[in-house]
Amino acid sequence: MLPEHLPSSDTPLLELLVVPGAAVREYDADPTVADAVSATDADAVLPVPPHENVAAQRLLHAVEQPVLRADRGMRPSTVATPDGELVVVAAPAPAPDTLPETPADLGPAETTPRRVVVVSNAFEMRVVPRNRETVLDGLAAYLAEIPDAWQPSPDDSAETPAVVHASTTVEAGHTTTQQLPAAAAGRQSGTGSRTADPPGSAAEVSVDILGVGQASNMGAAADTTSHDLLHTTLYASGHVTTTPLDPGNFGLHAVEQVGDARADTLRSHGVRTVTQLRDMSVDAVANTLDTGQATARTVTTSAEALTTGTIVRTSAASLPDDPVFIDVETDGLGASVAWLVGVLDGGSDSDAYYPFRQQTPGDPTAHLEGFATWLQGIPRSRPLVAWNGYGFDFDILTEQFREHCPDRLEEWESRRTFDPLYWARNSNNAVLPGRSNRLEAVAEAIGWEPQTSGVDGETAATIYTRWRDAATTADPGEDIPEPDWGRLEAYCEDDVRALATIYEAIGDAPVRTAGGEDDASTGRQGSLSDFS
Amino acid sequence: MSDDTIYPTDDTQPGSPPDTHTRSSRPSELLADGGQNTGADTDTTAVPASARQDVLSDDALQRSFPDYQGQIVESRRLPPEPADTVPADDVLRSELAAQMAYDLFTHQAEALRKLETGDNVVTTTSTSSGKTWIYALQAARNHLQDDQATALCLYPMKALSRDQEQELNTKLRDDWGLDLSVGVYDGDTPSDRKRRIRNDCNLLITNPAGLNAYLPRHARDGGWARFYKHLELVVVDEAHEYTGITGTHVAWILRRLRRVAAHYDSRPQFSMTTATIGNPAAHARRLTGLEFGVVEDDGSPRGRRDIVLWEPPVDWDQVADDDTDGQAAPDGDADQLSDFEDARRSTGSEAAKVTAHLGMNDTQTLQFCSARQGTEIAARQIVDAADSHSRSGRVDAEAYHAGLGKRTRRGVENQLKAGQVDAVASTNALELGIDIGSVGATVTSGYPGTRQSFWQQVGRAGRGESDALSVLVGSTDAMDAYILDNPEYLFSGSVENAVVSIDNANVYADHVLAAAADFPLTDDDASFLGGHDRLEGMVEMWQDAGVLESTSSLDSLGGVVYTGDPRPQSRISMYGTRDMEYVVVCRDGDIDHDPVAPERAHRDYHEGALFLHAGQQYEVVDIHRDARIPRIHVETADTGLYTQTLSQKSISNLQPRDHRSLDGGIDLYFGQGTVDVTYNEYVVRTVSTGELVEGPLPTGSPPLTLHTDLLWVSLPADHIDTTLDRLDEPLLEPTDRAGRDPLVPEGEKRYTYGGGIHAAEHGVIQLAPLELLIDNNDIGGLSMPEHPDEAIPGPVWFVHDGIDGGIGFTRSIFDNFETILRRTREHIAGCDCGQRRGCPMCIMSEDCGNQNDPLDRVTGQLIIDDVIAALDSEAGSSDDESTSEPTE
Ligand SMILES: [Zn+2]
Ligand SMILES: [Zn+2]
Repeated sequence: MLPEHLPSSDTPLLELLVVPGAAVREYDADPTVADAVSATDADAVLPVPPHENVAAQRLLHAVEQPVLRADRGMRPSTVATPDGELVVVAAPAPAPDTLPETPADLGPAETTPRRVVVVSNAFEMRVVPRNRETVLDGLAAYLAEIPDAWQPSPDDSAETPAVVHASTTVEAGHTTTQQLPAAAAGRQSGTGSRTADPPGSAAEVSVDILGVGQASNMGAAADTTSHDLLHTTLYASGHVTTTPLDPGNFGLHAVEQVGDARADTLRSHGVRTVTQLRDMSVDAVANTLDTGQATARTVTTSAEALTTGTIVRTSAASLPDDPVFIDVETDGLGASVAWLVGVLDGGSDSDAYYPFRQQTPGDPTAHLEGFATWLQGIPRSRPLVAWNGYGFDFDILTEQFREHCPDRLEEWESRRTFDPLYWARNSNNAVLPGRSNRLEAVAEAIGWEPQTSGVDGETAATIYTRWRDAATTADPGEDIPEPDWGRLEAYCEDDVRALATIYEAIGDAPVRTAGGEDDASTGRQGSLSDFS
Repeated sequence: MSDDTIYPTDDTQPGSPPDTHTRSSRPSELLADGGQNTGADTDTTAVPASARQDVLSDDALQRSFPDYQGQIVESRRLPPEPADTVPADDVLRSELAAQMAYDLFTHQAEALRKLETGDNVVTTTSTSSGKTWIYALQAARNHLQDDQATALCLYPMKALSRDQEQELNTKLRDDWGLDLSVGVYDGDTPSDRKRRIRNDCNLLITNPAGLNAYLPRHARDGGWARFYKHLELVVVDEAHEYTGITGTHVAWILRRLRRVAAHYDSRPQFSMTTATIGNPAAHARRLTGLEFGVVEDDGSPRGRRDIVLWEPPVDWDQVADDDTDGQAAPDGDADQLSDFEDARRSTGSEAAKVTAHLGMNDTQTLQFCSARQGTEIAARQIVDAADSHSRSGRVDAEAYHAGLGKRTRRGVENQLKAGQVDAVASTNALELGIDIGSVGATVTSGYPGTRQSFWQQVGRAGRGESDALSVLVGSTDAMDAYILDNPEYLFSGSVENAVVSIDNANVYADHVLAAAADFPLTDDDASFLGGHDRLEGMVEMWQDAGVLESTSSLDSLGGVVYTGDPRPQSRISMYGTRDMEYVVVCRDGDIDHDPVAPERAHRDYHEGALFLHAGQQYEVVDIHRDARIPRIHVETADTGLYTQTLSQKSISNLQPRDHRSLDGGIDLYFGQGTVDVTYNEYVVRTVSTGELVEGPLPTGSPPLTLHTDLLWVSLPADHIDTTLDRLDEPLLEPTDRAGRDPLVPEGEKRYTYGGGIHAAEHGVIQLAPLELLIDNNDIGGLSMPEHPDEAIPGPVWFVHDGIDGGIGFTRSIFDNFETILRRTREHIAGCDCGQRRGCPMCIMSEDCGNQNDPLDRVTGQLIIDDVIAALDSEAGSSDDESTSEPTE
């Protein structure tokens, strides 16, 4: 649930790793999922459809953390914060037999949890295009089944824990608050508050819904065959973030040049972990995989990077000097606006962070002009550096200049740009230790720690869009509540500093070329021919 | 080869150009040296140029065709038509007209004039009438006006794209000396070439599925932005291909294209071409949401053309499972379809004999095979048939289909052009405008399902004013039988209407999502995306589902932003109306098979199913339903067996939208409802005798629920009795087969009446494609003596779209019901089988889920007669509520 106002700080309380059964079928519970559990520091794993029962069986043997089962079992499985304030309970349907009488009964004897998340597979989200509605199938019946004390009630007292109803057949990360008639039992409920009476009317209750799995009837909206693991973080504020993780980045699959076939080969030779692989000689890897020295070297180098959390450069190519780091915040993936351009001038510890942010809802131009003007003071020889810039930031900015400041477009397009992710992964110049290509994943793998938490790109986009929409619909002269811009700018700052940290680490990283010798001295040189 | 002919081809011209560059002299001598020998061995008499007809004269056939038994049931000669032209400088600006070696055909001129006034144009003239010229010249005009102008050309097939790239390059650059660039942009284009095309290309060629994927890239790439900003012309070629499910998707992709163009302040003009269809303006409007001017008066010349209908011999004594002669089938479980399964296969070898005969007589021939037939096998059959021909000599034959490598295909095309091969056996891939020069004759093996397609194939023979010959070898199903009995059908003026619907809610929902990912949705988009109310409702649905930003609305400043998983457009299947499709993978070889919608997969591709594809038999060995991409694994087979799928079906939740109340308590409805169908079992039979080998076996297919379009004919409760009263006593006896079949409803009367209404249902479905461009594999039916729905008093028969959400087929059958029903009546009555249960050439259907039981031809006729009589005296009301798009 995204709170109305983002709290000034937020603390992650519980980390769940949501595991679709398909991921366990396609990869292995051990080491792939086990590796993901340790990489994410998950407190518990939650198998979800399809084939969640098969996944659960295998996970029980593969991980030490609790396996939450919403599909079957005699009693609910739980995981709680050490202080017992937040409890996640997976309750196999039909819930009445398995849930304790009140949520308070879940915690240790003296503690009453403040918040409880009940996970079940009792209701499912699906779209019904012919009726132009999204429904939560089975929600009403589920609410009718659970014990009274678990029911949403119109009078929320602080005495009773707040209950969130989570489903493994609602898309992970999806949150909604449903207004339901107090006596909703036995009826199928539509979703969306627009169809219901205004909240607060006597006959209504609010039900907080959280998705923790995959829905299967969502048209083109959802990839029902996705194998992604989902890293779900529950925050103190009640906020929830969900990050997809490609299982191909864990276990042996995480190693470059190792796919299904080679992972199988390695396993059949008794090599099950990345650490084992790292400790093999290049010759041994080449023999086992029946491959050349170059490939084998990439394999061992990548295994080393992964297990030691270091970056290893695999070519003599160097990074351009004097970078300017940038990061763009937008209103979504099909972005129509770049409302914040964060710039870090200098290294990861530089004081020169400049957030160029849209100030007026209807004006997507002024802050771009500001950014462009600032850029004029920066020598053209200095590269603009963005993580995945060739896949996102640079394109977005080009589009924004084209649309809003066409007279600045030529100047912008003449700037040198550089994308370290592209340079490392696509051009094979370095091996990165992250379990995904996400900036945070790579930065954290080399030891960087964020200064902010509880915000990700999607959250930032949502907060921005709310503000813009409020402004659009506001009456003339009406005050529009401003979001906590400082927090969002700090989040963006985190990202450019993470980027600078990675950039510096690449510069300092040892070089392993085909010759094999380490050579850290080829760091940053003047030769820029690779990056024009 | 001449580069400056404006000869009536969509491509290049075989043979040498005439010496003189005047339009009036580009006539038949041009083709006289085109490699065609006019058959010097035959009895050419005083009548010139009829040699080809003579090849198939009774005399010639009796003399040289092995076992000729009078297979020709009809022979027509269509007179030649001269060219109708307009001087190029009447239409084109002088610098362009100066490049033209010839005058323009009148239809080309008419289309260009309409385009000049800003109209969108759909051109529906014949295959080789030079339709490419229209849009090539329009692109050229645009370029001369503004050298930044761009054009987008959409072709239905990749092979066609490559062909047209070459063609357009030749015309625009080489012939007309224009400095503009043409590029094919699709999945086969290397990425560096793609970048160059995005940045520089004036005329970009792709296909609709590709466009679906590329549209959202506009925001990420300056090249695309440039392209859309200057987009002045959109070409939709072979638009008759876009019907049914594919048509629905294409309709929304084209609307999304218009929306992206509008985002860059472009309002491109559309130039569409189609084969001859009955409703070009309506079809073009449905596909694009725009109004079109129609160009249909063909100014291109045509030579004399002979059309021959050829009926393979059917030995009715062999087929006898006939109660009327008292003979029971040798085995009680035998299935009559098997004889026809056999006969159907023999259609191919009969066609090969005809092709071989033509080849032996020096007539280069293109044989079109049906989807089931293999072109490789057909090519071999042609060579073999030539070897056993009464005359000595040999015939070279090649195979051609889309699954061949590009180089192989191009090789065969060149051999055809150069006259180096006597015969080519092809799929309908060569129906489209790929350049093959001119052949002397076509042989169509089995009616291709539509007049449009048939004439398209016929049009492949004889370029310009040269004479041509086309033979249709009939197959054994209801449509072929109808056509051989009623040749007039082929020659009568009208052709089928193309059927495409934009009403399918699933497809619409997905493209709304894709449009949001193209760029955020606002009120301005309502005109492109189905109107305000429909758009708003769908946006709200997606907001509730959490994939569109929920706090904004269509009138918000930044619009409604897509926030779901990346690339929703990549999850749209062009072959279905839901978000999934199955791909067919062969374990022990290659198979070139389109992806399959779940509705068909459950019926035709269950585990154990045998099917024929391109002449090869396959068995489904394994199905991966929950793989990342669901897969049907098949292996090649050669079993002498076939499978039939049985189904259980129920229909509920009927919601009438349109109702015709007829005399005598008969009601005709169109509406929506729920069809629950389980393809739960299948049986295995031998091809040779139809004997049951195994089964019923479980299919493993999960149940399927369709919310779809239906029509239903509701009859009064006493109609059973009044109908049976009119029958003679022997017809009330159940057939021997019925007595043994546990699936057949109990009671003699119910059997007989049930067989009648089932026959009516089958007949309508099987003959509907005679009026409409629809695939009756995607139509289902159900008939029953009574139905639980309260509004249905007595017997009822249903016809429904077999695809979730509907694809407009049933709606169009409803709109043309009277015509289709009359044809059905006429055909059932006239079938040569004379059998009470009918035959596959009248009322039996291979898609029947109930093994064609019960069926009663005579009772079916009585029921249809009553409905026709009621339609004749229709006094009833009509409350039409058909959905229509807001005018744009
Ligand atoms: Zn018959
Ligand atoms: Zn049937």
